[in-house]
Amino acid sequence: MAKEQWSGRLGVILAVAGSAIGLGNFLRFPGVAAANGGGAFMIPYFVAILLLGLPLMWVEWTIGRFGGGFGHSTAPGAFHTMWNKNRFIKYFGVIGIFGPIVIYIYYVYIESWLLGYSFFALAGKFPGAKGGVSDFLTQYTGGESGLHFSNLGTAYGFFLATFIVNIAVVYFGIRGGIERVCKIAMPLLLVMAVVLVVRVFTLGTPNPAQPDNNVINGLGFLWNPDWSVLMNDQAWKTLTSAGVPFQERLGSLPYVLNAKVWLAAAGQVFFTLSVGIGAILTYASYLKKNDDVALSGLTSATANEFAEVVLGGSIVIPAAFAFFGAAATAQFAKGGTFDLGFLAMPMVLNHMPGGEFFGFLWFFLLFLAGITSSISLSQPALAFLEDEFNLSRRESVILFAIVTFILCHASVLGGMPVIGELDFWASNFCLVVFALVEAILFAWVFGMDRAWTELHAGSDIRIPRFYRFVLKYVTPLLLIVILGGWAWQELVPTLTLKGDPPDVKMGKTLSRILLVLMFAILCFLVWAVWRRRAREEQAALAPASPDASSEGL
Amino acid sequence: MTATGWIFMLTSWTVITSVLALCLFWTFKPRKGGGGPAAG
Repeated sequence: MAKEQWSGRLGVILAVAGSAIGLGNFLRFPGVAAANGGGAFMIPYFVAILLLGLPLMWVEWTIGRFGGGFGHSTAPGAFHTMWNKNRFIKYFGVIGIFGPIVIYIYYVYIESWLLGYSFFALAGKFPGAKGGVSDFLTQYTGGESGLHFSNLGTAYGFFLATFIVNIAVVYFGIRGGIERVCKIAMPLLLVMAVVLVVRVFTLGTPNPAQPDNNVINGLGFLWNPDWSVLMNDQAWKTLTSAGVPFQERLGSLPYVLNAKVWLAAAGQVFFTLSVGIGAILTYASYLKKNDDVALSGLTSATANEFAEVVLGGSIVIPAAFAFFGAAATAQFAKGGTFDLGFLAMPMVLNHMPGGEFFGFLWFFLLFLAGITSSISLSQPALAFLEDEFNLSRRESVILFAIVTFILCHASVLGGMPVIGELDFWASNFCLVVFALVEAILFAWVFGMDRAWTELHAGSDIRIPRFYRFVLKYVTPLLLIVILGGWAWQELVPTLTLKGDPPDVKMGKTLSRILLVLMFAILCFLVWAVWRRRAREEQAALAPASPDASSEGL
Repeated sequence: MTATGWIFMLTSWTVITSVLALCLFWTFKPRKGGGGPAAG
């Protein structure tokens, strides 16, 4: 069957940008930036974009297009094509299908909350106080029965609707489904975000009795640099009290840098650009051999940064600050994505004139950002079924829908312990491992000269030669440091579930069993496909048997 | 908001918006042989 292709460059850029732009841009970024030094955080953040994000973006686009040229739209086939002498590399590629499926099975559920919340906003259903909003979320997700929701029924209804929409979009394929939706959703998302930014910037000082609580100070909360956070304060103070001159203290800066902030920046860049998941690799496989990847990769990454830094940083934090002040906003930021999105914003909207309309805009914007990401997460599994098992689009989508519908119930019924565990392994651990495999394969196995030529095939821009060095040494080394640093500090407590209460331990253990089973099944499928292919190749090379000849006669 | 806060915010916004504008300009720039964004 003929391989699908994008209708044009705009379609693939919007689809990749749609995959990258998600909750991380509007909720995770402002929280992480505010908690890690504000404006000062932007230094490690931009360094991480230049040395990790962009190089990995180019690596993933290039590997995807290269694999697509050989009929492989997923990582096992693409990796095997790049290193066909190694019989194990295709199993590393399994992460590029496994990771997206795992993220998909909790992401679609959270996406359904956003759809639900957009309707609740329109109906003016959010309670006023923080306790009330928190209870609202707990009852909505089935944590307890109460005034707002007596059971999981409403949440399940919105989950079903969201799941059906996701499946319907991918059913129509790359051009008719994914590309068409992204071409509508992305401009719509941009317009909605701009309307919200204008609304927040015109809030001024909502309560004249508290003049410090205003939008400008809210922006300051996010952007005023706190240099002490960038450095290990204690080490810096020790050097100062020992009378070490400033210049010499600067010379020892690498030793006093606060590693946590740099890791937070690297983590945010990974998360936001969607590199290391496998979805971009699959999207890029639908390009033609000489379609540009260098400029398209840069454009989609920059579009994501615009949505994150310019738009994402200008909505939730300044609005929360203007209504509730520094202390409450700091608490929300510390609580992370969920507190900012599902607690702070409903409270802000309750205080805002026209809150119903703007609440709908906010949550529907997040829903659109979510759906353009979740459809990209489903594509690697669908492409794997189509390419390697020769299933039709319809058959692949039906099989995928049945399996993921069952798996999604782990998130729906298991709640936060399960969601947290799936999120940790798929979008933190697997992401870095997969990116490291890609980076080494690209620069060291495929070879830098060949990789550089492949990256520039049909390219509309020349990437500075400095990036040859970055791609070969800096990016893989940084990934090893991130992975090694995590293993050194966190591996044992994470594996032993240190400090978790018994019920959370149970949820996490069951999630891990599920993850191991899923990974093993995918590895088995890859093994079976390659064994079948080897037999077919052998049969094609073997001389025709006398029996077969006589049958032919 | 402090002066350095303004500098950080406006510099970040300017850099990102300028790079995006340049990228879009190159992407949409008509090319010899009928290229451009619509040509796959």
